[in-house]
Formats: sequence, structure tokens, C-alpha cells
Amino acid sequence: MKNVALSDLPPETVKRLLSEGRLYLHLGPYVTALSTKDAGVREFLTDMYQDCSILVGEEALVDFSLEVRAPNLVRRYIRRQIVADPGFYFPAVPLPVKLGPLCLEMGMNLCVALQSFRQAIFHAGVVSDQKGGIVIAARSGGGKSTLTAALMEEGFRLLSDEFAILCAETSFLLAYPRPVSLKNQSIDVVRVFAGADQVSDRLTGTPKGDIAYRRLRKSDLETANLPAKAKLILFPRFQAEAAPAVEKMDIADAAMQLIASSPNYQVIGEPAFHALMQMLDGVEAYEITYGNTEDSLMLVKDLWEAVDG
Amino acid sequence: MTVSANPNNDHWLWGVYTNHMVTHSFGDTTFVYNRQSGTTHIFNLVSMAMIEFLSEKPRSMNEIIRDFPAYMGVDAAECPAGVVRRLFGELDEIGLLELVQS
Amino acid sequence: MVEQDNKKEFQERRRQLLRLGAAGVPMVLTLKASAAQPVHSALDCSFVIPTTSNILVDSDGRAWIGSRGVREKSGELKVSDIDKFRQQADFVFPNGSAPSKFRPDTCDTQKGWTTCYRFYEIDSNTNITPADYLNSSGNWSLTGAKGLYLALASQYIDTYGNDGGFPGISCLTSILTYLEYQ
Repeated sequence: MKNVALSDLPPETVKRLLSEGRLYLHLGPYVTALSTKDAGVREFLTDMYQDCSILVGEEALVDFSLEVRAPNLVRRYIRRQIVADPGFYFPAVPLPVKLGPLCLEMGMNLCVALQSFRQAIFHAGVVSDQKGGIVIAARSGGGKSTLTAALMEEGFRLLSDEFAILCAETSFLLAYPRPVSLKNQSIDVVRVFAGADQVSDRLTGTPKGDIAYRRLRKSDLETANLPAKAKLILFPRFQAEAAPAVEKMDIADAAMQLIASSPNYQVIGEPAFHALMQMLDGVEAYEITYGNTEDSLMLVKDLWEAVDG
Repeated sequence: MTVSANPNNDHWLWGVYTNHMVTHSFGDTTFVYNRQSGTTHIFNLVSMAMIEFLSEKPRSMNEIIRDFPAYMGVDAAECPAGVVRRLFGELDEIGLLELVQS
Repeated sequence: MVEQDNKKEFQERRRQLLRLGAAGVPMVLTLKASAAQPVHSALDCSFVIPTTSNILVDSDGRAWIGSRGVREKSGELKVSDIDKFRQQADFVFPNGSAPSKFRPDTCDTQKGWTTCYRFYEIDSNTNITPADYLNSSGNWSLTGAKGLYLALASQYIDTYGNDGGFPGISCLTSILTYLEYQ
């Protein structure tokens, strides 16, 4: 097996590997065997994941297998639909075929959330610099992805926009950089500070409104094998017009909220407990309230400066 | 011998399955992982004190009600039997109490 | 001095908690899994039937579950064995409990042998994974002895809910509950 960049593979090879279910995407700690015959999904993948590593060879040991396909034969031709099939039964609403990229992204998320058995997964974004990692916990409408994308512009490395992946043995956070999913108003916000060419076309009419993706950066992929030690945990709260505010949280409260956000904490059991407790021993947690991205960046920078390197 | 199905029975001594517990404290709050159930519980200073009290040696229900207030350094009025019984029930419910018949 | 102050404060915090306890506030919190966890466990759960659980079904869809055997000879069952099985059954289900495809097609009794019943055998320590019997549209597709067992188990839930010691009930209940949210 050898690793090549997706963009180094000729389009017809990518098409063949995808139709055979043998496109082995090697990203962070996971290898995913991808399978699709849908041209829209293929285009999205070759564009957004162009710098990603692909394992080339006859057979690979994979963590996940994901097929993006029509829900049944009829829907391959009439009012075409598409679903993500992660290889285990999971009820999902079929989407119109033009939302194939969303299916792919959601399917990849589902694989990590429900089929990681070596790492504890928490619903949060993670960025880092040489000091360590910042965990940005997910809250509905909290602005996790916008803040993550904004911190990427401030020199932070992206580990993951969707998952804090905690290694059960080392209590370090692992990187699994993927395109950052942006919803509705945050699409335009990120287009402004990251540049329009860094954001994908908009998918309209999804179950979550409009969605676009902030592109993967080559630098994040190149450092994806470097774990980070968590130093700061943030619970962001976006409130239109709100004055910026910071409140220190009890670590116990942060622990409770993180456990409640984990799709596999109970499955991993005792190693997840140990790893989480060890991670939390070295961190501070804050709730931050803000009304716009500039304010959120200012708050995070202040907090980060106070953190020991 | 017939024994009454009542935790107050003086023949019944109650201890803690310490081997089932993994604990980690942040200030006054202790996270307890229960190996037997795979569940994580959050204990405060009072529930943790009860665990420590029963880890010292198994005790009958009557002894628990009588001696726990002194262990906590408060008088019985501040730690009434009802509180102790409820606390006992909470710990038993999550499977951490071991019955040791004398 | 500082240590004594700390001790005093610590004691005061415990007193405060005791007052809350007296008001009925729980002293132990149990963390609930995230919404995604029951989904995973529900769909992946499986259970073991600890003892031999054979199932006898009549043409009205009545069913008996027990551990005895029933002798069979070219599709006919021995009447005396059936009588004993019914008398010593662990669980009895009323008319209509077994879906029609599990019922006998004919009913004829001659010389101590009958075709009026069908008999399904499940060995002890048989593992059943309910999710194997869900098709891709989320509907049950129940076949074989294990499929019949699941059909009866869901009847049991309708009648008795999630207790009473019927093996596998909690696993099945979590799936049925989950499917309701679809």
C-alpha cells in the first residue's frame, strides 16, 4: 500500500475506485473506504479532498466503509434521491440527489460518531497552536463552526470541526481535519474573512437550511498526525447584539456537558472515563457570550494569552 | 431462619463495592465510574462522605443512621434519618452497596 | 489558621448540602447518554436466550413457549408431547399472537399424531440480534424460529411492558421505542 494525494490520481481511476468501493481515504486516525456512483458526490470529493491522502493498493484495512447511493433502484432514475449507507442499519431520510455532498459529509460523521471504538468522541470543534488545543463545545446555535473557521484565520491549526477525538491511551486530542460545515448566515461571514474561493458552493434546501463548506487547508492535512494536549474548553453562546462576556465554569460542569455530547462515551466505558478525567485535569473551561465574530475572537485571544504554554 | 426483607435488620451489614468504583475529583465534586454498570455518576461532598464512611467497615442500617452525623461532624438534627435513608437508597439504586450478612 | 478556615468552609458546604438533602434534593447524579447512544445500542443490541425455548403454535396463532421437546414424524407432531408441552409451558400467548405465516397450513389428527400445530426450536444460549430482522425501510421482516420469538416478544411488550423476565425484552423495547421516533 502506498499513499498518494487524491489530486494525483487520474479522474478515471478515482471514478473506478469509487464505483468499486475501494477509494481508501486516509485522514487522521481513520481510513474510510468510500463508494459512490454519483457524479455530484465524486466532483465534490475530488475538489474538497484534493490534497488528502489516498491509500492505493488491492486491499486496505479500513475503519469505516461508506456508500453514498440511491435508496432503491427506482430512485436511481425517477425523482432521484440519495442516502448515506455506513454499512450498519441507520434510519436516514433520503435526500434529493443534488444534496449528495451533504450525504457524504453526514455519512462520514456518522461513521466516526458511532463506529469509533478506540477513541472517545465528543461533539466539539478543536483547534491548536504550539501551546496546545482549544476545544469548542457544540451547542445548538452556539457558533462552534464559525468560531472554528475564524480561529483558522488567526493562525490556529484545525484538528476537527465536528469531533473532539480523545485518544483513550494518551488523553491527547487527535486531528481529523475535514471541510468545516457552515450554515446559513455564517456562510457569508466566513466567505468574507477566509476569501470566497475558500468556501464551497452553497447547498440550498437541506434539512438544516443552506450549507456550504470551508475548504480543507494543506497545512492542516500535513500536521494531521500531530496530537494536541487540551488547554482550554470553551462553551460558546451566540446572542445577537450581546455584549461580549466570559464566565469561568466548574470543570465538573464542563465534564458533564462533554459526556452528554458524546455519542460513544458509554460504549468505550472505563478508558473513556480515565482519558476524559486526565484531559480535564490540565484545562480551564469558560462560557463565552458574544454578538459577532470579532468579539468572539477577542475573547478567545484574551483567554488564550492567559493560558500557560 | 427467616429474615425480614428490610434493610433495618441488624443482621444485615452494608458496605461498598470499592472494586467496582473508579473515582476522580474536581474540587467538591467527584466523578464515579461504576465498572459494574458502565455508568458515570456525580457525587457531592455528602454522598462521597457516605461512601468513605461505609468503606471503613460494613455497618447495619441502624448504625448508619446513628453514626453518620458524627462522621460528618454535625449533630443528628442536621443529618436526620430520612436524609440518611434516602442517600442510602440512592447509592443502593446505582449498585454500589454490598450486603454483608453478619 | 488558614487550614482551620478551610475546614470550616468545607464543613459549611457539607451542611448546606445536607439541608438540600433534607428538602429531597438527590445527592447523586447519573449521567445520561447522548441522544445518539441509545440509537447505537438499540440497533446493535442482541440478547442470549439462556434456556431452550421451543415454541408451539396452533392454527389460531396461539403460542406456548417452553423447554420440553415434541416428537415429530414426517411433519406430524405427537399429541401426548403437545399436551405435556402446553401444560408445562413458561409463557402462553393468546389467539392471534403468532403471525399467520408461522401457523400450521392444515389441521388433521390421526392415531396420536397431528398436523394442527407447528413446532419451532431454539437452543439454549442462542443469540438473537433484533436489528438483523429490520429491513432497510425500518420494517420488521421476521422469519424462522428467532423471527417468531421476536414477534411474540413484541406482543409481550404490548401486554406487560418492559419487565416480567421475558428474555431479550429490554433490547427489543429499546428498538421499538426508537422506531416510534422515526
